[in-house]
Amino acid sequence: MDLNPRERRLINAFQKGLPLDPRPFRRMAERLGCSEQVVIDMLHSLERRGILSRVGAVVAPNRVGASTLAALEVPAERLEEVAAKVSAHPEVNHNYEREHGLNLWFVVTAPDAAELDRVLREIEGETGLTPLNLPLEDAYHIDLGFPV
Amino acid sequence: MTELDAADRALLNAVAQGLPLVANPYADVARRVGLDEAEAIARIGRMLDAGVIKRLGLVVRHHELGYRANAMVVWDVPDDEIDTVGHHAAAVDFVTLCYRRPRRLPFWPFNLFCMIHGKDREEVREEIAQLNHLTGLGQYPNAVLFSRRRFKQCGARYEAPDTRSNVVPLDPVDRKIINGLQGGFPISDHPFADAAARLDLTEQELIDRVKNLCDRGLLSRFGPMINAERMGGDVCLAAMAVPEGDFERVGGLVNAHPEIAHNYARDHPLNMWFVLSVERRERIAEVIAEIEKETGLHVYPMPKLEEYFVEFKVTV
Repeated sequence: MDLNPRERRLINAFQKGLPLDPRPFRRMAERLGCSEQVVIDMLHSLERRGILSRVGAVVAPNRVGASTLAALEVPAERLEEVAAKVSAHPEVNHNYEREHGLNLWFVVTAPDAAELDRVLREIEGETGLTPLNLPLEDAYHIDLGFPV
Repeated sequence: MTELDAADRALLNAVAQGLPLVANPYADVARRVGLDEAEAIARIGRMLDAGVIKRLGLVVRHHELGYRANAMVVWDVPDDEIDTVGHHAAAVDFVTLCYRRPRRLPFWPFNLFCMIHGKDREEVREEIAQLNHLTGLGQYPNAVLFSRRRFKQCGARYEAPDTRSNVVPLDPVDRKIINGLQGGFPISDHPFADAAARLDLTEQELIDRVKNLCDRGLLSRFGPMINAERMGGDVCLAAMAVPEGDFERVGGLVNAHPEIAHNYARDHPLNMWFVLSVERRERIAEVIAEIEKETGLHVYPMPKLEEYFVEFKVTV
């Protein structure tokens, strides 16, 4: 990781909130004491370097659409193939290998419960493996932010 | 606010996928979903107030920021204790996410999930030990699932898959117009009236719709397809092998030529493919020579030998 001090300030200041304003990058620039164009260029650069995934909305779980965490127990030699099949679904937004018998963990988000079920059934059909479906029952804390 | 209408969903989908990094990002997003900027901002504001949108912000990739260790820690907590313990765990500052999820016996006995991200595994293990100690979670059966590889990480979609973020909802009349007019347009004194009659629309309706489709960017233009070859001009596909880190610079140099009609990155050692469209046949070689000189890279022209089929139409 190679962040300059201004990038650090930008990331720390705006992970948890962005002004809702027609010119959000100008508002951010005012707080950082630089120009709007500098903020936009910095964001482009962070995006190109893979550090910034996006500038966007973090949506509360289960308030809109339907989502779940699902896990698969994939034979080691099939992991890449199965992971690719899972990732190919546009409804899959996270997909990780984890160290456990259940070794592939992914999050599915769909417009409604029926669509969510359809995606899980499709993954089962395509891979021959049955996903363990672990929907959210209660969120005690969701506040993903990373101080840098 | 509990009910989101179609425009809210389209908007939510667009802002969850990410704002364009331009001075007026909401104007851009609004145009994509067929709203005006003020209306889009007002709707986003309502979704923020209602808690549907938790926040707007920079979403970073923790791995790239040096958070190389990411553990999902799970416990089997008795049902009557989980809410208390869950709230305790959630209050610990290094816990980034804390959820209750169902057990799936016999495969999965755990019901409390915490995510902990750290610079390395040692740091995360230390934090897990602290968490177990502080909250009393240590007494319950547990497992630590470190992530090994990330296959995918992106924003969630909240709309049906056929209406992706950059895809604007089309109504049946828009579809009818797009499908009906791609093959040709009447050449007559009142072409819009004649075309409208075939589509069961009035002349004014069709004109308004076509204008609107152009404004929304769904039609890149409404006009004739020119056969450059028959006019003494030429069209030629060409490709270059551009070094990875140099792609943007070379793309800029290539696109600066007004003769470049299309330019795409493709997954192949020849990774940049573009189409030259020129008024005079000789210009193809000239433009290629100019590009080679500017970029210092070889351009491979791929002229077509024979035309088998050209009909670029998409049914919507």
